[in-house]
Amino acid sequence: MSSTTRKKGAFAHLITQLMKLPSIGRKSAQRLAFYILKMSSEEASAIGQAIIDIKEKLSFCEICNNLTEEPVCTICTDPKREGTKVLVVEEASTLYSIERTGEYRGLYHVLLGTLAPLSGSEISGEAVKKLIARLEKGKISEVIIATNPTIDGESTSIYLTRLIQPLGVTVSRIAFGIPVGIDLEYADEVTLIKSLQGRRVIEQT
Amino acid sequence: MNARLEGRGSLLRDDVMALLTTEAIVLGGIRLGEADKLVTFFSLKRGKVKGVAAGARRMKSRFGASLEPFTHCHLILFEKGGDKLGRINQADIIRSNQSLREDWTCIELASQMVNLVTQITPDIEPNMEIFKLLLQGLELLAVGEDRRLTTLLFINRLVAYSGYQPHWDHCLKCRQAFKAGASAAVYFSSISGGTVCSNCAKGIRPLIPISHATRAFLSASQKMDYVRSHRLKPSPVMTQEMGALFNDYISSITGRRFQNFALETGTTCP
Repeated sequence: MSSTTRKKGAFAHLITQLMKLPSIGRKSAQRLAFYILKMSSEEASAIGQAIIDIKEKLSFCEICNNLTEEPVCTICTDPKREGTKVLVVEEASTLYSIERTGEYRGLYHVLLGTLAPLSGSEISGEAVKKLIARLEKGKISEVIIATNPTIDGESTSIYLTRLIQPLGVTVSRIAFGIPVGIDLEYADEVTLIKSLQGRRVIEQT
Repeated sequence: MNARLEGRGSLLRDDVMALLTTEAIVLGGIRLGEADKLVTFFSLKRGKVKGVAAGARRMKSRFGASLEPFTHCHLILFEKGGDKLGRINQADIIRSNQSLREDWTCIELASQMVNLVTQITPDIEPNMEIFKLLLQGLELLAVGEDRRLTTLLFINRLVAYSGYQPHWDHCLKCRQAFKAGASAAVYFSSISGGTVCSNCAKGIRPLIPISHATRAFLSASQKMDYVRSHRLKPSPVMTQEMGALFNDYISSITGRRFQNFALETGTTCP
């Protein structure tokens, strides 16, 4: 038992640890701690074990940097996937959001960060080298860049385009525009301009 | 607004809260928590201010693109007084400067402008001249032909408006005015903040040698209106000299290594 735990007691220590999670303040942490207290020992151990497992068993896919328990992730090894398309995302969390749509059946590449021209930080060279190595094998014909529509995401997109286009691979960027379910009058100018630039012809049914 | 709260933020006591409504330029922002953003602005009424935009990273956020760097906006900030971070209530775009975020050279040069303002200006100290300069600088970058010259002229003016005006017209030591077309070498001392003649240069280190043409260009451009000073066209050698001079001077002011993108002739995309 650590000295902190001894000083504060196990309950206070659990609250302090839970407060390290995003969006968890003291009150929420206290509520969760009481809930855990009411759980059976097996259930509480299962939560603890799950946290230990993701730290010990998960690693980055050797091909695409997705999170996986095996050396290569299930998406990269899936033979039903369209092997000619690669969608580039900043973080694995974006990959899961896109996977939830069920619309995209190609492969992925996770950059594990972006360029940040304002702070001067650079992108992971290893992740970019992996992507270029995949493209040089010649099977991939299109790279879809799905970085965030922020200055960092845009800089990364420009950077990747300059690297990829000389390899003869088509580079496309995901569309920007109006989110579904909002009133257009509340949309800001940049979003409206982007949506007009990315308009499409309605096909006759 | 209470007249006491106008102007310098140091007058804003710890227990005083106020609603600041002002024009502002977004200098940058960092992710905060799960979906929030901590944004730094250079505002017309209060200079450099920071605020938290709750939920700004969510898809249906009311802030939209208004908190992206280089945006000129109408800002409503709820200031909490003292060192506490304000809360951004509203930010409406006046000019988005979106084109600056879509071109690599523009991203680099505009980032350099806002980074310099962030580093050189103190918090909560209004400076209308710097606000106007940054506004014009970003507009000129978006539409201008010679973007690197725009950036060099911006730096030359920014150091002057920030209280670091170098002496260009006379020697710092002997106070003798430099003559137009003189052939003797001139040196720039970042530590002393100005130029010294070759006679007085002994014993002062480090020094950056510059030509009389560069010294005259920097002096003349500072006396002209920023937009009109673009009529002056420096030679490539003068541009190099100015770049080396500002690299050293800005580094000595901020204490951080300064890399002048305006010096590069080609792309610096990594």
